[in-house]
Amino acid sequence: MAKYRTWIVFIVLILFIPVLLRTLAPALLGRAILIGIFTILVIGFDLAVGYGGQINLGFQGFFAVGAYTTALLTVRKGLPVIFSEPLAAMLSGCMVSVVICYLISRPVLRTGGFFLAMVTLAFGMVVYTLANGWDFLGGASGIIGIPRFHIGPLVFSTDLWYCYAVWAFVLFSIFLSLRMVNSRWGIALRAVHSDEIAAEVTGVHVSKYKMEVFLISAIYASIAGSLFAHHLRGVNPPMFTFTLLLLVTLAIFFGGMGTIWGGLVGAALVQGLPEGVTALTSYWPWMSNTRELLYGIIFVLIILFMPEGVFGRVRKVFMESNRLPGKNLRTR
Amino acid sequence: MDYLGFILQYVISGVTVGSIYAIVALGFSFIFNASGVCNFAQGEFVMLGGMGMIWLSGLGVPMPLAFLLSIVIGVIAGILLERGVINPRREAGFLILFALTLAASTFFKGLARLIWGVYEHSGRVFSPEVYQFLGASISGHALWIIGGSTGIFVAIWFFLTQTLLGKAMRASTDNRVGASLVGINTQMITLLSFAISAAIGAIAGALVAPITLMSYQAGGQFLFRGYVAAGVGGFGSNLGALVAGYMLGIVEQLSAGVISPLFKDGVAFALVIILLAFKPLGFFGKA
Repeated sequence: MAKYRTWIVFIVLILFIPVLLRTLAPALLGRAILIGIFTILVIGFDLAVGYGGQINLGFQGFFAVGAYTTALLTVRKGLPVIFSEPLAAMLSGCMVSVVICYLISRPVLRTGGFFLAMVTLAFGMVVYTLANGWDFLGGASGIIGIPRFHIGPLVFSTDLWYCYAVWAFVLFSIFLSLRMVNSRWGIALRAVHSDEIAAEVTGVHVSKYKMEVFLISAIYASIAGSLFAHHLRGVNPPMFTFTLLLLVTLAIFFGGMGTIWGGLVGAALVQGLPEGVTALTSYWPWMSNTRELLYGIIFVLIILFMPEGVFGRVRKVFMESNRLPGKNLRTR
Repeated sequence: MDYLGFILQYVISGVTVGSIYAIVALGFSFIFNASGVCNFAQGEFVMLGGMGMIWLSGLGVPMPLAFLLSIVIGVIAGILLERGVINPRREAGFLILFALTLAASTFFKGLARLIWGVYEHSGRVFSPEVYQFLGASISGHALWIIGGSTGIFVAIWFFLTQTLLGKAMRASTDNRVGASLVGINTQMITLLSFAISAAIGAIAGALVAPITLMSYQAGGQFLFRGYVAAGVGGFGSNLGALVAGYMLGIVEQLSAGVISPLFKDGVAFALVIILLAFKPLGFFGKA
């Protein structure tokens, strides 16, 4: 039982917190959904950056690809009905993301971080420009009228039900990520991160691992994007700017790089902060201009004084035993 | 206007904005060469220089003095960045340093928002004349900008190859430990590189302020283009950064004119992706 304690606590929390929020503070239910979506995004980024050491500055672009694919397939008519099914649309988004990700990163993956960062940065800009300028994608006003998330006839018709759906995805992605990073594949990936030459000499196919983790992280972003589109029931270009990438980076440093659970902590903190600032603004109106400043100060302080992140610090202090899944490497 | 003049007009405005990108790229690769830091706060130096210029000239400070003072604002930000954030974690890896500069850029953005508010401003041109050239027109201010980019390029070349301090900087780029063994204060060199690069960025901002809208979040667009220009030119090559900056500007303006203004950013960046697929190390890059 002890082995599963964290999971049981987590599932119980997922089951009870939305109900609690609906009775106590219904306005925060939307925030809970956002935290869930953001968690998937952050975990995907953490896989590429924290475990793989590959910087992806166009991560918000893959989020946009997922969101726009879902929007197009579920709203536009004329395609076979099966494509307008949210899960099918989500899957299509993942495929598009993977293909694009492969095409843009394959040539530069071997040349090191700077060029990979540059190509992905350019990709993010291209996606934004296309979303903004191409009428097919709705232009600056975006696409509205995305239906609520449903699986066949089962419709998640309220925020409460959608919250459960999103957190089911979160649960699954955390579970899957932990399985991945603790497998042989994950160990090889960490070897690539810490020393490419040593990994290559040991027989790890370095560029294959880099490519794989990059594609997997794009899939995570795409899924988060699809869920986001269903949550807001519409997409428009300003949702997918570099600011989003900034928040994701902030979140992995908040939570702790290379810790899957840290993604959850970081996402909750980053998405909770605006709520806190808004609350303070009602007392001190001048606070409304300080959001960037606060982000900046907290961001700098965290990286300078707590580079292992909140989750990493907590784990170091409290968890000497193997209570949290993912703490120790399991070797097979 | 005939078709040639039409194209020439876009090329001229392309070179003008390209000069700004080239200056940002020069500043970006200056820090990168001297300290290996990929400085994502470079765009904020541009923003601070531009906002400082607009603010000071709005207060009635004479233009040349406002120009100098806005450079000073940029340099202060650069020194603050190096002393406060980079120096304590000098030995950290690429990722941490990237995140630190990103964090610092958020801080500068927040500070600018607190001081100057959220609205967009525009500055006054340095000289209002307009010249005719082969059927296209070029403004006096555009000449200032183009002259500024070549001037900075020459100044950097002169500094790095002809002065003792510049040679010391190149030595510490080449081999940090070796440089400190022969008595070069490498910490000072890093600080100096940040100060100079911030000055370059602030010059770009002060020059571009009259021809664009400046706000606290204007830094990003300059950073992205400067970064891409520095990369396409091959990190470390100043000539490459200059040429790539001009080309980026020309492509951007031509695609705005020939295709659609809506796609002008997209075309340039898409070309960058395609280009790097064939030349993964940039134009002037060495393996």
